[in-house]
Amino acid sequence: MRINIKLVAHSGAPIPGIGPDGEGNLDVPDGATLADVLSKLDVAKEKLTMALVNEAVVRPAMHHEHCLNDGDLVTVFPPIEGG
Amino acid sequence: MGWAGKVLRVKLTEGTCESEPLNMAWAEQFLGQRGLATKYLIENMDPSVDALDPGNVLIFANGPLTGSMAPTAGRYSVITKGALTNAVACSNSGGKVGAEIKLAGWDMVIIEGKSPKPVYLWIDDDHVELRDAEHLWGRSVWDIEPAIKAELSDPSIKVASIGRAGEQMVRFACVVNELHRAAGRSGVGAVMGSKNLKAVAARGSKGVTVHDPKKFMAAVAHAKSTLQPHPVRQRFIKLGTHAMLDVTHNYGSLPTRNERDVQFEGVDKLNAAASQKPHGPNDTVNLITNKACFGCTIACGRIAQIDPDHFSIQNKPQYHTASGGLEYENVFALGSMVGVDDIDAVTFANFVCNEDGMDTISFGGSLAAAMELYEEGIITKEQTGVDLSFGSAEGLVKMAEECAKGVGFGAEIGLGSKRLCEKYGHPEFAMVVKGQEFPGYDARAMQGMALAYATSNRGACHLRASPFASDFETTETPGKAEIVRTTQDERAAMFDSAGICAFIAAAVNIDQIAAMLDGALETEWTADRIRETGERIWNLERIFNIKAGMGRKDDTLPDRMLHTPAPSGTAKGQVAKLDEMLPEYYEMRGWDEEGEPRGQTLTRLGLA
Repeated sequence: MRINIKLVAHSGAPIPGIGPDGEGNLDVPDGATLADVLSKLDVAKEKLTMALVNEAVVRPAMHHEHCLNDGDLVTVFPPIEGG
Repeated sequence: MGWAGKVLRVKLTEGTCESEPLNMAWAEQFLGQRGLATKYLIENMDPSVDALDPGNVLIFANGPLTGSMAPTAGRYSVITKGALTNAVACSNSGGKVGAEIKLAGWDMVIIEGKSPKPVYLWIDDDHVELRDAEHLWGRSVWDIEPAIKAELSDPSIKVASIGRAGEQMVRFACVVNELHRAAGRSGVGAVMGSKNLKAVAARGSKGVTVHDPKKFMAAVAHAKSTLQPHPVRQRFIKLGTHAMLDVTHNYGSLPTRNERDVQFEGVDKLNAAASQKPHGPNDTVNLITNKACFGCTIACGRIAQIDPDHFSIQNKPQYHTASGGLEYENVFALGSMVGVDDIDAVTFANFVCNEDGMDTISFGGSLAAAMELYEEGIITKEQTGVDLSFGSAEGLVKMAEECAKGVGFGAEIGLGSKRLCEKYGHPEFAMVVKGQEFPGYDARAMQGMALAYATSNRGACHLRASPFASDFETTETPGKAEIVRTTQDERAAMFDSAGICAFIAAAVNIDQIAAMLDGALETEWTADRIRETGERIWNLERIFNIKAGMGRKDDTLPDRMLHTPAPSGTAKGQVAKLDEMLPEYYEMRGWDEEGEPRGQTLTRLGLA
């Protein structure tokens, strides 16, 4: 299935399928979880990674249990504070 | 050690400067900078005095790590009773002037009274004098910093000064150092202006000593090794705090049009990516480079330019060079908060705020309140002289210039949102706590921030607590009170009182910071001692505010936050649930129902 991705304020290394603006899509196996997608995006290692699925918050404790559907939009926020 | 051991007491009324030893017993209790200076403040003035009265005291204070080898050790604070809030004020800045004062051998500069004529303070190691500043009065920060350096024949001198806004006692005037770093919040620059003090200039050659150099340098090396490879540091370098704009917009917590909205349709024209792309008829790129403060290995500061053909800078050559650029709080306040998506106009307004010393958050918030008054027909174009509809770039530019100089309708913007909206009979349009404008986080979408705003001792503030991670995780309130209380205490001591920057927090933990303090200072410092010291500082500030006449009635939010649901975003339909959190917060703090510290709390903290 194909998952739409939006990496907010993306500043990391290029990721296949994701444009320099942080938007793109990933093909993942059916039944993939949010944690699986975050792992592919190489952002799961950052502490405090916050994510939305279809504009609804998914708490970090639920990342491994939240199964995605074809066409879902995953929005990922970096751990950053304003100043 | 860690300390120079001396305090400079300046009596402006008498025109004297005297040295006195640092009160080490107080330093043990309150650490330094924000904590220690608040102790000096409360012991040296009547908290009930008006902020602009000569009886108010203004303190420039360093932490024990300021000027040392610790990473980001360039922080100093200005502590006083705030002109915007009439509450305790502590405004923290980076750059280099704080470290320079420390290198000159002074931990703190206490300024009392009011000079009969404009003066500036010149600190050259042990040589200290008040110098005439009548020739500098009426001139901007950008104008007088070079003038003072030329007068003293040394371009390396560091200067903290007020612009015309401070002279006019604009309620949110700030103290600016090195042209575009600012002790920005609460009107500390207006207090400086009320004292006829134009600037503090410093040159130091003494260095900073630490108690146990080997232990200290090991702790410093550990902290730097943690910070250097961290992805947050990389993000700060590449995007600065500007990156937050996309976060809050997507989450639905971006204050927009005086918080009528929480997402801004013009965000793609203002965000960090936009600042790095060519735009306009000359393909101008807004962001030129980044810049670091003293001892900083992050360099989140932005240096930016305006398109030379932009309407805001026609026939104004001083704005045709690069200067301090867009960070999150100014791009939200001068952009989405007033509905303006013109990055050059926003950058221009930011330049003006730096040039004449105005807090960007409070200027933007006050202008947004004026725009709402305008859109509701309460004030008119005949009064303002310009279209003040939300989104008016012309209005933003004109009001910034007028406010800085205290002329036209801009002078009314300089009252701040609270006084402006009360004057026109609509206090509900003021998005403030304790008279201070909201930073860039909507309190309905971020419940922890709602509590942090309401309970902040200096008025609405995003830096007094750190509920960000929790707030971007859930809009439910359980657990928020504990997060806010804990981080208020930690940040009060760990950053605002130690002399280092809050932006190392994502990488460097409290134990590592304790290790640096432990190496620098004679007595033992641990994470628990930092937390206890922070709690003592928080309660001391609370005592100051109670003596100033504040209490539970001031720990609240505007009606819009409490009763008008967020119109979109992840928190669509929600309001700030302050009543679910505040009683629990008071109980955790050991305060009574009126928000006053109980006797046993004061005894436990050594404040009885």
